[in-house]
Amino acid sequence: MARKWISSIVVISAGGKVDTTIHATCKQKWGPFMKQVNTTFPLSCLILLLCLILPASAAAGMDREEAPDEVFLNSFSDVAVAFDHQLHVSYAACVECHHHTTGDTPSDPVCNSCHRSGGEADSVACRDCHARDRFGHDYLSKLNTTTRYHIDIPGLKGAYHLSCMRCHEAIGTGPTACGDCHPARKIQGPVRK
Amino acid sequence: MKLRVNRRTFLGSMVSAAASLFVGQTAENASAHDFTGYESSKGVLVDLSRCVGCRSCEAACNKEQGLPEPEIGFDDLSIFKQTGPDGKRRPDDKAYTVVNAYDPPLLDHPLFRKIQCNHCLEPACLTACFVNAYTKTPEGAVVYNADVCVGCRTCMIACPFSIPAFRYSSAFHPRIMKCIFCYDSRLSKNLPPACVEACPMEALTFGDRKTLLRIARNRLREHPGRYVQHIYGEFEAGGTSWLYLSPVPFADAGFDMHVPNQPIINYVKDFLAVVPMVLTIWPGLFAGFYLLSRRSGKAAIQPPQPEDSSDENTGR
Repeated sequence: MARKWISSIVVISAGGKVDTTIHATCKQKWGPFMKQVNTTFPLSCLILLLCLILPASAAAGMDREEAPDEVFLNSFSDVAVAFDHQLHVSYAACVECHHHTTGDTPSDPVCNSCHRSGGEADSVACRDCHARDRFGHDYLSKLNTTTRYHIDIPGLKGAYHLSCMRCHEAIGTGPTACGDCHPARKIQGPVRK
Repeated sequence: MKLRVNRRTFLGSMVSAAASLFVGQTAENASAHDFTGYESSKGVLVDLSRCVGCRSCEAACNKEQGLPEPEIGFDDLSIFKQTGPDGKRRPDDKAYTVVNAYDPPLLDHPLFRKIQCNHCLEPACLTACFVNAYTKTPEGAVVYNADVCVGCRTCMIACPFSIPAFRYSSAFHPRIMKCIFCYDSRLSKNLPPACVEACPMEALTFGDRKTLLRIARNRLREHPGRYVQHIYGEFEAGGTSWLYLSPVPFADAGFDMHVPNQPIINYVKDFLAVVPMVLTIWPGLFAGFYLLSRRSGKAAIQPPQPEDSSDENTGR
């Protein structure tokens, strides 16, 4: 996996599309993915170093080719769920999952009424908007504001399941049963930490 | 909402109810109030379009409330084919919540629905209970106190959703068993109930009831094709803390659409206001009538003074 990441970075540099804005947002943008693949500290340093020494030149938007190949979703369990990102990139538009944070303008007219010209967000990782701690005080108080429009953002776990399963059911393909994604499914009460 | 009744308020309400009858007003006017729930009342929004029938909520509830282990495990989805006396499973003394599968004609896949206490804003169980075993807490939970319960089971009849169940199996500790919104262990600490936390699809959303209504309206507005335009529980039974959104007409998902929009207590308020009057005034009133009639009757049947006494007086 680590080699895959280094090669991704190298692809960016070879494409000559990295500039100072990428440098600035590099850590924000790729950081969450790095966390998701559980890279060790020295490896993170190495990638960061690679980012810094890469030549500066072009656009800020993330291209499809730049997207990660595979993402391991391990925020909730040590047994990660492997997500073939490249497979999804090949037939779905970025905005279908990433809403308005990357790719073109959203297809949903409701979203488009505000996010048409929003442009690329600093971060495209799910966990940056969908909180892991769904019922944490910070998240609840953020949502429970009378002046806020988005009072209904599901937590990270809800976002994963809703996003994956709704689409898989709609298109009639892709895993929908628990065991299809979770290797050893075990129903148990909520874990309180 | 009558939460605590002490001697003074009880007598006061009796006197006022009796007085109101005497001055010719209806009892409803005398005790008119529109209770729309506690300000900070919590609730849960159930989105049926999201539920996938994994039964995680059932498992979490079982664990949190220390209920007995079920005969059929929580990962056994064949339970959806199981039928109870009413066709579908119902919450009972071994399970405060159950998930049932429905086959609405508008969908090509089953629709799952979780059943538990809806925690009404003006609970019928509470108003039916004559020993005040039920309490509606400011957080929104309807909780039950087994220590004062006499086991009359009136609450089971009163509940429009048939939720309270009786633990017949225990000869020495019989009691009502129902969902208490995880009040003791969670809600009182401002934590979501176990079922909500366990739901992987976020079909259950926990929050202030007012916020949940806003969220529900948002969803109805943003996805008009995904739902029928109705929030079940907003007004049903006078409003419930648990609210529902459904992709099909609620009747197709097994909801009782005959539940009235006002609290059940409203249907018996007039009658109940008469009860104290009957208990306090009627005994005296009718005892008085009886004594009066007895007295006048006695007077009426009193034998007349014998005529021949005058003859005696004549000294004949």
